[in-house]
Amino acid sequence: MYSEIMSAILEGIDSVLVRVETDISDGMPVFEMVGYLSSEVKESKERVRTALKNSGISLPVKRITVNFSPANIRKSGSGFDLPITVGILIGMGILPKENCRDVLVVGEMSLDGDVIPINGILSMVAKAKEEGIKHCIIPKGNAKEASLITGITCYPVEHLSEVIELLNLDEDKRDSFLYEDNKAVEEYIEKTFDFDMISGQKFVKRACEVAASGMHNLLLIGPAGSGKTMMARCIPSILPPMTEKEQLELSKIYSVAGLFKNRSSLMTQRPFRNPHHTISTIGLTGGGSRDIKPGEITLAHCGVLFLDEFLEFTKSSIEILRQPMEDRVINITRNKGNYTFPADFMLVAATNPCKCGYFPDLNRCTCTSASIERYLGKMSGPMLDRIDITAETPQMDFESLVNGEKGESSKDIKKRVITATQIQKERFKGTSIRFNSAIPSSRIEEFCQLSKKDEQYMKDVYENLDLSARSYFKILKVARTLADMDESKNIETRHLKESVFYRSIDKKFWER
Amino acid sequence: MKYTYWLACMPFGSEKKRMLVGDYFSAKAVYETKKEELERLSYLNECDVKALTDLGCKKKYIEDYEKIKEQDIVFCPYTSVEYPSRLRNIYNPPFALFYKGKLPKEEGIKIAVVGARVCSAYGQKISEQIGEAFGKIGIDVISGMARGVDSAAHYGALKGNGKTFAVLGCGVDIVYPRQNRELYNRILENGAVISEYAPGTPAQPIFFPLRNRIISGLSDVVIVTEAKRKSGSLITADLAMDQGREVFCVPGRVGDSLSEGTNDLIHQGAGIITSFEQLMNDLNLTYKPEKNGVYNIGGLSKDEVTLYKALDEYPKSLDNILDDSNLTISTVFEVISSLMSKGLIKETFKNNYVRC
Repeated sequence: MYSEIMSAILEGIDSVLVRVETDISDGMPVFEMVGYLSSEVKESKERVRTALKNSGISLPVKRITVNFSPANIRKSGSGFDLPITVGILIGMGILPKENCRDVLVVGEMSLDGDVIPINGILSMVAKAKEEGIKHCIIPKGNAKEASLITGITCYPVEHLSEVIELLNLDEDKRDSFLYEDNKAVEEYIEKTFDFDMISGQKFVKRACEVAASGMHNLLLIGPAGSGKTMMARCIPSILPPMTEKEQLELSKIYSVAGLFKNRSSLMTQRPFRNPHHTISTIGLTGGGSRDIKPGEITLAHCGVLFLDEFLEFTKSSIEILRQPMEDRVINITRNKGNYTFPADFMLVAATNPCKCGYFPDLNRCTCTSASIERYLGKMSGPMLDRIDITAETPQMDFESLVNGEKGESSKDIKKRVITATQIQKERFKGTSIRFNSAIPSSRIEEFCQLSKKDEQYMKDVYENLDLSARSYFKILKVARTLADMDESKNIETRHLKESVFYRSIDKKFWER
Repeated sequence: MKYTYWLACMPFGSEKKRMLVGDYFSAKAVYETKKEELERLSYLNECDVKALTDLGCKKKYIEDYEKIKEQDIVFCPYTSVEYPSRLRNIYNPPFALFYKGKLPKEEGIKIAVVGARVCSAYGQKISEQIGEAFGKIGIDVISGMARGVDSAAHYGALKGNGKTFAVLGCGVDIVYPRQNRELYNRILENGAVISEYAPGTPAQPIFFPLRNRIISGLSDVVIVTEAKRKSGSLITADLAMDQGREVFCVPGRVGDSLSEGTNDLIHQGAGIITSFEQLMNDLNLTYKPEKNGVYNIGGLSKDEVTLYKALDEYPKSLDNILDDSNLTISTVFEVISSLMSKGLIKETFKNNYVRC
């Protein structure tokens, strides 16, 4: 007898529906599976056979053919055990065919018939809903995650016997299988970092606030132990809250990557990712030869990508960040196909000023000027162009570390950041620009108008500091953000003055 | 002469070259000597003999002798009348000098200013002021055109419209460090670059301590502005004392690693520079002090004065300024900008400031 059942596989962070067709007919007793399968799907055969046997059902002495359609997509993932089993059971007449229409089945099985959770449920259920499927049978371990998608009925199951019981019931009698969250919702709070934990360092904190307000990329320069990492960790806490769409997108990414820790609600906290500098380029962008996995830049979507020891990263891994930083997505092309992952992150980079880390403290720095030049000269020009704000984090003396006054809390800073981003949203209505950092230099004059007096001031600064055209534009963009933070319509001299302090590191500091 | 040029370009010490000329009476004779004979000389090693008998080398340098004139490089052997007499009298004088520009005149006193490459903003400032002060009264300033103190001294002398001479650790046609190209060109116009190494010789670490003997040898007084305990400048100072030159040092704070070397020299008996007047007096020079180094901080606002007082000769980061001055962050931005535009303070490194 022929049967079909719907299932799904992951493609990037989205899913594709797959029809699992089963045919049981007379012939030599073989169990054949076709449809461009990866080895974990091929192995599924043995799991299905054994799980059925251990549930008291033996396979019929007939020819069993299972086909996965569409046949041109490679089937990977461990979620096919359950749909294959269900397909065979329908074919054997154990499950009524009409009850299995409009049902999406996913789940891995153990040899005794237990249903085991899989990655990417969020994305699969969302896809099922999009395609108009009404019911989903999913592993119990994924129940919370699946319940985040409303408008589709999900039946979490723990064992194969439950599936048989469930699918033998009519649609209106299945209510007892519905997911009920009896446990009091445990609010899952990740350890948060707050700016009030940092005493002193007022200037760097201010730089972080400005960076967050205009989504400017940030570079922190300072000796080891001056709090660069701490500072970067705090930045997600002052970014404006995520919209629901962003939350869903981010949750999907984490579900696909198998990193979705909190399965009781969508991801509400902006991520903070700090990959080690030995990371490969693929590790950053995402990819892989068999399963296409999201990389660090996608995992940092809507949040902060922190690259500590920025200059220690290989040149190629830094350069590949350029395109995603412009487009806010990463396109990955492999022979399997093309994938687009979202990658809208704020880059925070940190570096030592020299090899020993103490420059400009000449009493402790043991570097020669040539080695300082070599070290800082490694900074890639195009990458520096994408970093609007550079700030130095000085070594903290013990006094201010212990007795320094506590800073503002992230909550207060966040309020100001929200105001500033709101103003930008208004200003860029109808354009593709979202934040001040994205103003193209061709439209600088339109958005960053200066008064006659300030123009003269900037001209003096330009000449005195020997600026490049690029750094000049960056100063204007940051000044625009400062004005927004001030809720001032026009850029004032004080904004320009402050903005100059965040400009990029100059060659002249180490070339003498 | 071209044979002397060839011998001068040989990659071994001046002493051996002089001994060769002493033994054979002329460079031409050395040039024509057979390998077997050279091998018998006890003071030459295998490499030296190999270099001396290399036919390709011989041809190249004889041809080069004509070529260097086109590059305005002057060859000045030990025997030449132009050879500076001060150098003649030191231990192991260079066999020959190559130079571009004009050699310093014999009369008048010559000052060498040396110090650390990675120097503090203070060291840079003081070196430049010393250079300028001597430049103004027409005293030649000699240094090594290295980064840091050396360059500052050259720039100072040029600023004071004086003559300045750079003794290099590479061929005179090579600019090392590269960033000093502008300085190199200006020195050519107002002095000379001098070297004992053949044109085209790239800089090598072992050349630098050797060229220090020429710096001190060409001068009468050596001034060390900043030097760590193990500094090349101390070699210059030692050589200077061996050569009977006077050594003066700029004192520094106790505990500053960049002043450990100079303070040590003062302890050993080197001259101390407490002011330019004192230095000039010690050297029997007439010097009219200009109003220099004293800033008129009148006319500054209260905040500006507070901030200026929070700064000193040592770089201070913005965050430390914030802590020390007790001003609000927006005021600090404002005040630093205005003090910078008034030229009272400057940025030495990203977000680090010193008094000018």
